[in-house]
Parts: sequence; C-alpha cells; structure tokens
Amino acid sequence: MALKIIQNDAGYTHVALSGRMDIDGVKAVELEFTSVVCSKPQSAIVDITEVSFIASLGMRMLLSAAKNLRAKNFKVVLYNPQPVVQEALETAGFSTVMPIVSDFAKALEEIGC
Amino acid sequence: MSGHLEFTADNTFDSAAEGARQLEKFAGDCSLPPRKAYQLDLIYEELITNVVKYSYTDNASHQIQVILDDRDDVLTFTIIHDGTDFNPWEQADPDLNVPLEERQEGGIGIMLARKFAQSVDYRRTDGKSIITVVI
Repeated sequence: MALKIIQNDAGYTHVALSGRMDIDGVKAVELEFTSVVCSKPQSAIVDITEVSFIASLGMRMLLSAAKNLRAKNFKVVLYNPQPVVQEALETAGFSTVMPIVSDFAKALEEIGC
Repeated sequence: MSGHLEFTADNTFDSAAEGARQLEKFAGDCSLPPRKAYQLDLIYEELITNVVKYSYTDNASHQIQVILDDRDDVLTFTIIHDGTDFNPWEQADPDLNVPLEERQEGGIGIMLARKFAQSVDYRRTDGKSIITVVI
C-alpha cells in the first residue's frame, strides 16, 4: 500500500491511497497518513480510486483521522471508491459519518472549497 | 467450479498475511466472482486478525488451521484454533446510528464478516474452537 501526497497547501489536504488496506498495508502507511491528514487545520480529500481492498483496520485508520479533524470542525471526504470497497464502507456504516463521493467537484463542495 | 484448500498459519500477523496470498490464488483458481472473492478476503482477514490478537494468552507459537471448500457455488470457510473459547458471533455490533464523535472504532471487523456471510457458526470441541462461515 502506498500514500501519495497530491497537495496540502490549497486550503485542503489532498492525498491518494493505493493498494490493499489490510494489516500490512495499514502498518505501512498509517503513521504518515495520520501525520499528513491531521497535522494541518483543514479538511482532507482522500482519493481511494486505487484501493483494491479495505478491511476494518483500514477503516479504523480513516475513522480515526475523521474524528481528529471533526474535533477541529473539519472533514475527511473519501473520493472515488471501487464498487466492492464502497460496499464494504457502506456496510460498516461509513456513509453516515463521512462523505463518500465519486465526483471531484462534489468532494470540493463537501469541504466548502 | 469447485475447489478445496487447507493450510495452517501460525499466530503471527506475517503468517496471516502469507495465508491471504494463498486465498487470493484459491479465488483465482476457482474463478470466484470479484464480489465473492472480496468477501472471502475480508472475512479471512477479520477472523484471523481476531484470533491472532485475542485468542492466545501465552507467548507460545500456535497453529491455526484454515479450510476452504467451494462446491456448487457454496463457499465454506473454516478456522480451527486451540486458543481461548470465544464465540466471535456473540460480540455486539457497534452502534452505527451515532454521530462520528461517538462512533466506536472496535468491533467493525466481526460485524462486517457477519454481514457478508450467508451463515456463521461457532463450536468448541476437544479444546479447539471451530469458526465456520458460509459465503
């Protein structure tokens, strides 16, 4: 699993995750992901287009970041999940606690940009 | 298509991850549809993680047996371990109707496994726990 920082100086953080968000994947990116997403007082768009698998450990990583930003009145928006990943996120009730969108303009709208 | 796979993992995350690669190959060999392959992958990951994390109170190495059987479109997945007698299916689901601030981070894995399964079972026989999932 890999983390790519697209930008974090345009009023929001934009990162992309790729690969499997399983035990090994989360271990590989969690520290950097949390540091990048939570260090600035701004919302974050997390592009998960290239995430082929997510298990609960990966969901916990996303939930933890969303809670952290929520405490500062900011959001995590998940952008463009593959259908099987979207189904897993929805089954875990994620759609009620963080926006999951497939349109980048909608992602920007969600964070007020 | 039909297929059968048995392997043992030890109670480490590295060994569990190696097992996931065997599962991926099995899903390919049996031509499982993508959704079913995903569900198998997820159920394996959640259950084996749970067993490795919580089933052993000593520091010894233990063998965890994994059995997969795909027949007539029914995929049966079994984990047998000699750890503590704990029925994961009796664990309460996290409450999904609470706001983000109050959302629990634990318990999601077993809930997902249960929701993606057609049926689940747990038995304790001869000092071993047998967790079965039909996908």
